[in-house]
Amino acid sequence: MKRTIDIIPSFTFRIIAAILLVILMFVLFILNLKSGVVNLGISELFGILTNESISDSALSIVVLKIRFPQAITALMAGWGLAAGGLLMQTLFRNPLADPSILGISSGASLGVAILILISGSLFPGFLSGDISANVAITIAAFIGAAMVLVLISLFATKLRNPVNLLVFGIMIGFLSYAVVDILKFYASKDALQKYVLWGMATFAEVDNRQLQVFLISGFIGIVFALLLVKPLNALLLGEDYAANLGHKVKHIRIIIILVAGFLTAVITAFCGPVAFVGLAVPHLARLLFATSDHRQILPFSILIGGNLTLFVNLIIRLPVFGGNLPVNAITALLGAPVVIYFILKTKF
Amino acid sequence: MNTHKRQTYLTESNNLSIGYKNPKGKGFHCIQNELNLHLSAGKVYTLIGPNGAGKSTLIKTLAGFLPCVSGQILMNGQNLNAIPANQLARLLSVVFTDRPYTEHLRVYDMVAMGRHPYTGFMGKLRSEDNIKIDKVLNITGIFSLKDRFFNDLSDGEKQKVMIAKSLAQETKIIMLDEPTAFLDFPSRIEVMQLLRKIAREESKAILLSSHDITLSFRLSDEIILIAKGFTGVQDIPENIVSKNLMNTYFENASFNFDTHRLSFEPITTKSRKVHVEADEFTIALLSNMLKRFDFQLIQEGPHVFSIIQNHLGFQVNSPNGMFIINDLTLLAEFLHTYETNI
Repeated sequence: MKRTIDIIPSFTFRIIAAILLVILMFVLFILNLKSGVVNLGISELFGILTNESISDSALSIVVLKIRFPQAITALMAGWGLAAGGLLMQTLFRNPLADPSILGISSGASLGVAILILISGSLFPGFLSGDISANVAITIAAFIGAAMVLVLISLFATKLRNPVNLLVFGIMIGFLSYAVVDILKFYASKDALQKYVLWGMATFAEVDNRQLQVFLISGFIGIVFALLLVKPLNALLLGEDYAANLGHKVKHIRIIIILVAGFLTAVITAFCGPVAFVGLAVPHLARLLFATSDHRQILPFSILIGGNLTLFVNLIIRLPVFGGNLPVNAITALLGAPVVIYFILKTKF
Repeated sequence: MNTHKRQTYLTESNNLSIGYKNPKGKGFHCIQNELNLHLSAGKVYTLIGPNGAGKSTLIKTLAGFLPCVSGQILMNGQNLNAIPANQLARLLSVVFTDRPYTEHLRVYDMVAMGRHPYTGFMGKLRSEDNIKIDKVLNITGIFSLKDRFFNDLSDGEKQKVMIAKSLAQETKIIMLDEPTAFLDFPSRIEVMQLLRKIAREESKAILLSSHDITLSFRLSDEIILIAKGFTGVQDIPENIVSKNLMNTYFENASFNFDTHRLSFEPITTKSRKVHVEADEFTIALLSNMLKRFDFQLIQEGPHVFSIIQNHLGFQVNSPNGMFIINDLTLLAEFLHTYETNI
């Protein structure tokens, strides 16, 4: 595709786009609080938020204890997944790279599978308590993700060819799913159901207490990602050029893998393996702003990612769907066409 | 040579051996030994040699991407290994054979990458950076392309962008691995002339590798000639020619370095001699034509037949008799069928 005239999105366009995205974020956030199986009016919602009318304590609990943490979780997951996806795509110079493809999500899945399927089958009462179960799942997912992360970091220096590293990640994914399948075969019905539910991904499992941990870890990951914009830009030219520009490519590779992996591990631990957000959002941002400059594309990807997951969270809780559609059903519907479009468009 | 020794070169190699790590086990596979090269500001150095001689390996080693097998490389008097990455980035820039493939990257942003060694942690361009980028866009003649996407450019334009990026890096030394590969002939000359201009006007040492021998001999200040089994030499093109080094280094029975044309010419195997009398321009044309059909043009001495230019065309005196051929096309046809006619 040859473009003879390139329209540069002007500075004003970018400012307006940023403001619109932030406004959209607030609107989506309010909509997330206000709608669901029970729809609230704006005045009712503000009454609850400002703690003035405690007329209906049940509604207040729904908004503050369920919808609020769910919306915040969705927002942070979108931010982090988009940032992690962009980091991976630049590092591997591959438009289809994202943390889930590297096997980090599957590592987390394996950790959770081992926990739920084994302990859930052996000691049926073990995972019944809500809080202890969530904490345990979080820790298991994090350990699983971290193990894959360590593996990848160990081999990152040996697998210098980005394609090899990508294949390595995909194979790790196959290996962990193979183990999961074997575990599933022996697991009890209850444990299996619990694992399948986790695997469909949800923003609803993070309560207000866990939210703090989730937000802090997510923010740390995003801040580190934002600090990497200069080396990320250099990597657009390939590792040799980046090195010639004075960047310590070996270190940067490892740092990028750690940051993207950390973001994925945290989000997968708290929300399950959310698919397609990390893959599709950076492409949307590049399309919209017609640039690859990470100083623009990274913040915009983060903004778009948050808006996307808030929108998804709004859709999945629509009363039409019984208020509880799996996250991945919608992200795949939105994300897969974007990926297909890119495969068809890109000259490999 | 004594005066040379005291000078500090921008790049200097002492008894350098280059090679790459053996894929199996340890140690190095050495491809060039005892390289003593020196690059000074204001000059263009062209590295030539047959495939497999180690041109790319030499450039990668000099640029610090590959370790030296033995010997030493000095950059501006400092040992290359001792120079930190961020300092080396201000001293030496490299243009690789493979062009980056990146969607949505504009020419201006690509050239701006050259400012990385000078900008801060977040890579924000200061006004002086923007002035320098505009300047190098003008030097390389690509200012009008600055808002285009890099991927949409032609190969020649892309090469100029990468050279501009190198210039934006403000390094004293620029190394380019086959900068004219993939380019059409006009772009090749353009790129070579641009590099010459940059070396002169910006006072830089430019080292490039090339397969374009004629162009290299015309436009380089010095030639660095390497080949498997020979010690690399560095000299001005005229000395390389007069010492007949090209034939030695590119040893091959089927071609020969033509010192007038500055290119390799096929050796005529039969070399039947043809006596020619014509004007200078026609002699040049006939020389080329005769070579193609395994004849050798001579102006004196014994010969198989003769071609004499006159007002009617060409008078051919062959063992079969004398006849007139009107134009070059028919003459070519005659030479083509000479064997069957005689």
